[in-house]
Amino acid sequence: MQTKLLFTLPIAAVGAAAALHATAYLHGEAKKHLFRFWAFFLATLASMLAVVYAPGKISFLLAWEAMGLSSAGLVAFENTEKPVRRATWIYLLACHAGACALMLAGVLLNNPDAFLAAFFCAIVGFGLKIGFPPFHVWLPEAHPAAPAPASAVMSGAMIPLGFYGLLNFFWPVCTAVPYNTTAGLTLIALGVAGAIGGILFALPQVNLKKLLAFSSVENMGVIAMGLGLALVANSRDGGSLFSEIYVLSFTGALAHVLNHALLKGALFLGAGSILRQTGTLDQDRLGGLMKRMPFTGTLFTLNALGLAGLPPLNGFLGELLIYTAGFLAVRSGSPLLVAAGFTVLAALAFTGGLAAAAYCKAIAATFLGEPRSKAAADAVETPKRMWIAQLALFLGSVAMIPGTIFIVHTFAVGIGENVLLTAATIGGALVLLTAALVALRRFLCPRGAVKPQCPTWDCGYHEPTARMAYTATAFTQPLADLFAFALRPRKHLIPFRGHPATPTDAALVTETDDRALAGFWRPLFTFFARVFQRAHLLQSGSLHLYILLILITVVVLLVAAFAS
Amino acid sequence: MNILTFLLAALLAPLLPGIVNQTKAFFAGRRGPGLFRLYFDLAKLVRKSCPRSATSTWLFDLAPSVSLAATVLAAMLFPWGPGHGAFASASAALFFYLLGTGRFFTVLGALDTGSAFEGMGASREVQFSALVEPIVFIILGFLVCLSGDVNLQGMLGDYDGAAWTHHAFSLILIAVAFFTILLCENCRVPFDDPETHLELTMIHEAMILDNAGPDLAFILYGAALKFELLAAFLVAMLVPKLSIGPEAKTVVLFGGILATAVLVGIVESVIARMRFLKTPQVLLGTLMVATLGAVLYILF
Repeated sequence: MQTKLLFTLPIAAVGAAAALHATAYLHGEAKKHLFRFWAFFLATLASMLAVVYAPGKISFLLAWEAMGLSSAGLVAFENTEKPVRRATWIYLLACHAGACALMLAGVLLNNPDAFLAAFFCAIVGFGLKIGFPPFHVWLPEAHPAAPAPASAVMSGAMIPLGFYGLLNFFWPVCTAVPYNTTAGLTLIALGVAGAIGGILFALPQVNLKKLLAFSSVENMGVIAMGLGLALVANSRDGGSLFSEIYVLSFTGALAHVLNHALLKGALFLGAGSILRQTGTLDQDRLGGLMKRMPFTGTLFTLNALGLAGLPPLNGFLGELLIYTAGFLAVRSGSPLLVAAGFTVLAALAFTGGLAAAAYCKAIAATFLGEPRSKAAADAVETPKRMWIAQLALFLGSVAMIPGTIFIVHTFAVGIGENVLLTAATIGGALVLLTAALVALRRFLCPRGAVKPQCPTWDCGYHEPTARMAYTATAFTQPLADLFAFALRPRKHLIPFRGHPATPTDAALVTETDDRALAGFWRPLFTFFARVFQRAHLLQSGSLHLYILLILITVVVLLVAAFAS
Repeated sequence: MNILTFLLAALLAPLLPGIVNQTKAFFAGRRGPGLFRLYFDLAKLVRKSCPRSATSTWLFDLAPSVSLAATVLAAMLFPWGPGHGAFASASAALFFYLLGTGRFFTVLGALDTGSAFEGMGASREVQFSALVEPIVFIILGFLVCLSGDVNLQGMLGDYDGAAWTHHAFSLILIAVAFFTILLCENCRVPFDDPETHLELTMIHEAMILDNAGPDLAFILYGAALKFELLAAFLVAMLVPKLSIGPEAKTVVLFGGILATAVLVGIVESVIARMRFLKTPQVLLGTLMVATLGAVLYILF
């Protein structure tokens, strides 16, 4: 029941905020388009609730399929554009492949001996929703294509439902011997790959929503690491320390589900506001929006700080629980658990550092500096409703600070409560101390002494323009080049031409596409297509042949039925 | 929490850059700017006004304050004197994440000016810090193994001196790794050169080009405090429980901090800054060193 509540909360909170945002976001759309959006939107919310409260496996699968189909309707909202149709197509394929794997998992689950097979099918099925690599293929396609309120709901509330499915149907057996080691190590491996891979791909993205989509892959990876570490701790029988690691890690992962939902929902809404006011999400064409859209900018900054997992906001608390579990794991003495602990610690820290880099870039390129295009220069603040929706989610995430402590206090019998209380107190102290320093600064240089009207000092250039500032691409170039072996960025260089004294304009464009699609899925589907080409032999168009085939099938089935 | 030792640490922080500079001056045969240069600079800066660029926003105004507040709080968590810091159950993760919050705002404040120089510095800062994070947490994991304690205070030196006879090699490897991080995080040679003002070669100095007055004072003091914190961390983790009592450890701690500053000065005097492109390789090497230290400890 508690897990049901925990997964209902994001649906309700993000759903409500997204609905409020959508009323302004879709302002001016034709009536029939509005009808289509709201119908699919409500159907998506309803089917997500149905997934959570489904009483059995069959009803769960039905609700799951309904959720996929209705949200595909949302992705396809702007279906006159080709990339949107392509994204919808990929999303539908991912949904159906996932549902297919889940049906198989459901059947296999009936046989206790085939539990591991069922588990791996479920990893594929739920992973296609959660976005475990390489199943995350639809996220960077569908999120930028969908309207922002829909992306907020899908990213914040829908993709973690995959974890709900795992917890609801597989957890009791997963936590028991002998499956917990395998399941735990699988989740840790997927989590590490998802967290580091997700944030690495998020880093060089110039499309803001694509960046956020990859960051969802990262956050789901963090949750998977937490759950995996919990399982590995459970697999070693070593008394109270091990159950403590289990509880800390498990609670940390679940707290991160909530934290991520609220913050990522708000960030997607913020991206929607930017798209509506400027018409673009290309960060190399934005900039300077903090002055033009102060509420949206401030809220985006705060939410990004939270999602980067930095104190004083709530994103840190879930990670802190997992860190504490990792610390306990490395001193547990069980070799496997020590190795798992070190892996989780290092991966989580690396992810945290990269996430801070990615969000610094997202904030800076979008909101800071001078505008890099006319669209950004002419932008104005959104209608109130749009930033109120983000404010509500931000306040919800602040409320999650005592909320996380409450969860730990109530459901985790207080394990880790001290660590959290300290972190929350220090967070409060950070806010107060900052306020004190701001007051001190105000006292030291009173307003009259602040001269805001000088230009940025740029080594003697009098009129620095936006073209001289660092772009999003430039900011992440060192990291993108360092990890080029994994990211494989495509660089298009247009060199200088003409006489060296009067060169033409040069340009460098870098694109970092998702590797999973081109490197894994396309070859796989091409292979399948080639294999099934052979089946064309059967499709001759001759009715006699078809009847013969039906007859053969029936006979074979009858023989098989009598034989067994 | 021992308030007196915390205050002593807070007062001592601006001395450390002075020690580094005097050491460098000694090696170069110069007279040097004096040990107390930063105190004078701070006193001068707080009396100046804060001009700011027309491009910047509230983030630029807020960044130095947040950054300093986060560093001061991290300093309050640190067990300077006998007993623990401000909180007995403060996690080491919280300690390093506070420094991370400070960095987040410093980077945003730098990017807020829209200057290419500050963008360059900020870009390098996030790149190197992302690579440093895993090394820090491997070292923290090692310290947990060594002391059996997950709190910051227990992690630092709450272990038997016998560990130095059995695991000296691991401890040395970890110390080398942490010293490398200390240099990188505090933007010292060979990662960054605090002396090459206004060049394309710097990280931290490039990020604060547009700050002046009290803001710059906050930043300079925060940087000195961070340097002291990491030096203190290094010393505290290397010194085991002393039989002569916890007070002796405080003396050793502060002595060690000064010695670390001298060591940094020596390092800066004898080696040159390396190319930025080499930095990721060095940091990866440091990660290997730290991991090796931890693995050796666990295996033997």
